[in-house]
Amino acid sequence: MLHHLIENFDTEFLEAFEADQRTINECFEAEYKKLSDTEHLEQNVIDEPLLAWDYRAIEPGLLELMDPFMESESHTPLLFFSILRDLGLDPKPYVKASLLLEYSYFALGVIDYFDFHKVFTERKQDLLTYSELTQVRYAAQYLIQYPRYLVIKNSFELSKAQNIALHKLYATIGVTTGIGRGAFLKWGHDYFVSLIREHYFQNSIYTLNNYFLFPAMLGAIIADLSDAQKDSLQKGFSALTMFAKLRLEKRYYENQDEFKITPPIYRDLWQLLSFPGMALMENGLQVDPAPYAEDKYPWFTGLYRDLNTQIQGIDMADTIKTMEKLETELFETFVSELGRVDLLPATVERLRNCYRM
Amino acid sequence: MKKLDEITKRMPPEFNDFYRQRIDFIKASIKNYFPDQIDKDFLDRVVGQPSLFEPDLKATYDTIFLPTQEYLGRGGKVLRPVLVAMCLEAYGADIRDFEPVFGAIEVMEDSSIMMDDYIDNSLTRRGGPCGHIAHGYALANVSSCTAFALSHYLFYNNELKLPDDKALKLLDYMAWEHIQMAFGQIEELYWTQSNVNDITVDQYLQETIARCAFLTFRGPMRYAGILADAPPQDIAVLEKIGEYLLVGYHLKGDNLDMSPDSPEWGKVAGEDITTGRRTLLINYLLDKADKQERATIESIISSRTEDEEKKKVVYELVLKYDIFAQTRDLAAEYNQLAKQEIEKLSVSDEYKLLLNQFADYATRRRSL
Repeated sequence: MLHHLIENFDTEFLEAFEADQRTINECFEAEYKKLSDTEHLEQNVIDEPLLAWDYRAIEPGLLELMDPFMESESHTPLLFFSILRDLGLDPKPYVKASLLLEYSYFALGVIDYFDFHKVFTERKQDLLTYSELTQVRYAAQYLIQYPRYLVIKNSFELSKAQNIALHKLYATIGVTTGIGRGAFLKWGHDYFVSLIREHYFQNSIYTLNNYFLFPAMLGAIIADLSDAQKDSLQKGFSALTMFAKLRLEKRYYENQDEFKITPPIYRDLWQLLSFPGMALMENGLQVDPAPYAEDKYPWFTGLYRDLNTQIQGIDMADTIKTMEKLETELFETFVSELGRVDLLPATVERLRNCYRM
Repeated sequence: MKKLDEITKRMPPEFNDFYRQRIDFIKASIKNYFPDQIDKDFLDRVVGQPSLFEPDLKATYDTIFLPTQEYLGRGGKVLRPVLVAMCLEAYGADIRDFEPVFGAIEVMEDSSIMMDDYIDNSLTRRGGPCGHIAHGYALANVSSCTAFALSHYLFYNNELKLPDDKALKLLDYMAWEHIQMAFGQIEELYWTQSNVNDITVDQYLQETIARCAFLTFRGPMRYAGILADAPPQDIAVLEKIGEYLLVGYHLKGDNLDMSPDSPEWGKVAGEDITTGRRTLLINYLLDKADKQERATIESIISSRTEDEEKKKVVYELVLKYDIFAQTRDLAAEYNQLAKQEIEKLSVSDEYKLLLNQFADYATRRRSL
């Protein structure tokens, strides 16, 4: 997904770090096999049972359900590798930490699939579909929890304080991405009335926490950076997250066709990524609630259709100009925060090239 | 006071006194831990990162905090924090030194039962609408899992200022419990979704332990033991007691789901049938039923029916084969195992008595 959030990702990351990508892919393939390796599970993940596990559940109850969602890639491990190298570390010994990044990404994809499902917007209950969706939702829950065994086993040979920080980071990525989605759902249920820029920006940072902040802070913990350094990284990558969101949104206004080729399974995540917040706020757009009068909640795809139609009929030049000014400010914050603690010069330079900043 | 009398009326005397003397303190802890208003400082603290812009506090409160607050406000028995208090004191700790722990445990419980409720498609909990009924499935999902993750802030922020090894031990155990819980959930949902009918008793009980022991009661007993510096051999025994208690408590819950013994149960009867759950009760019934009855039961369970008449068919077969007695006997067996373990603890007789009374209360008198 980072290839959508970072421009020129193909050349600046995928081609430039081809060997890293191979290392990461090899790790993922080996670890995927372990998901159903009962010996590995008992020795490392769920432990020997007091009574008896039913391992028959793994294939139909987890893998078959998750496979379609595991076809997409977040590419955040590549950024993580780049950051570790920039912090003076060889990333290879920490390749398994990529599982934390990638499995939470897969799981968030499922959660979005669940949260934006049309069946939940209708008044009539469909218990069978509900129960199928719940099964998928809980398979994803296991996928989020699974890689935590790496932290419990101290697989990266970190100090106790670093492992505490790792636990905290993993928990708070869940909290922020959850808050982001919660507020976003609420706004949608209220037809995005009274949305203001400050709220929209902070919520976008929360929602997209796993793309920039997660790999950056994971690298910071492994490299054992000081609190002051971590604070600057946190602020810098928060600004970069919002910058990337605005860039994506701008492309959306400039060329909407690009957004029609998204893999269908990720259409729900896409709703969060491509939400036309700036167009809505800058132009005072309003969604017509009438089509949802019979429903329990408005359906997000319908809301988007309405907004898209409106956007196509207005001149977006002023909105884009405002966005470009904000982009410059945000990118400067990113650069200055990292410069202040003299961190990640190569990564900053690479991102400058990506975004032509 | 009337409500307190109602809650405590079935408690054995010493446990009743213990409960009454600590309940106000525990309730205050819950209120402090999960406030009914949030500000930016609180949010930054629990999300673990300073916000760059102004967060939407109202939308955050309404979606993440409010649904769990609604559960908290309905006045459950807060048995888990009470058990934590009992275990802390049993090892000589002063509960005032651990004030936020009680709030954390209860918020974990209430946010997680919201998840159980939409998995089971329950309508009511503690006499009020379930989270997904009040706020929709999508918001209940986001709210419960986010509030649950957030409810650990005491531990991931190490706000008790514990030494690193103790803080890490707690976090490692909690993470391990989360993995267990999620794996148990996969098993349960696979059985339901695939209409699996050949689950063994051991598999069912293991799945129950995996899915529920984080808070009922292995987790709270273990965390209290670690916090109070209980001897390592005692912590292993506390865990075992928690698991045995859970089995008794859960089996009683399965029976109550089919046949609530009081309005306090606060849920709709026969939800397990509607959800298609392969509970132990259903498996025992399938074992004893004849071929035709078995086909009827399987058809009803697989159909996710809300039809009271069909649920009644299953209920009457449960009565016919005296299945309640079978699960009750198994619950009693586990209660006995818990009591044998309680005797092994290096705590005073006063606390052994309290733990025994808690065991009886939890496994025999369960409601709410």
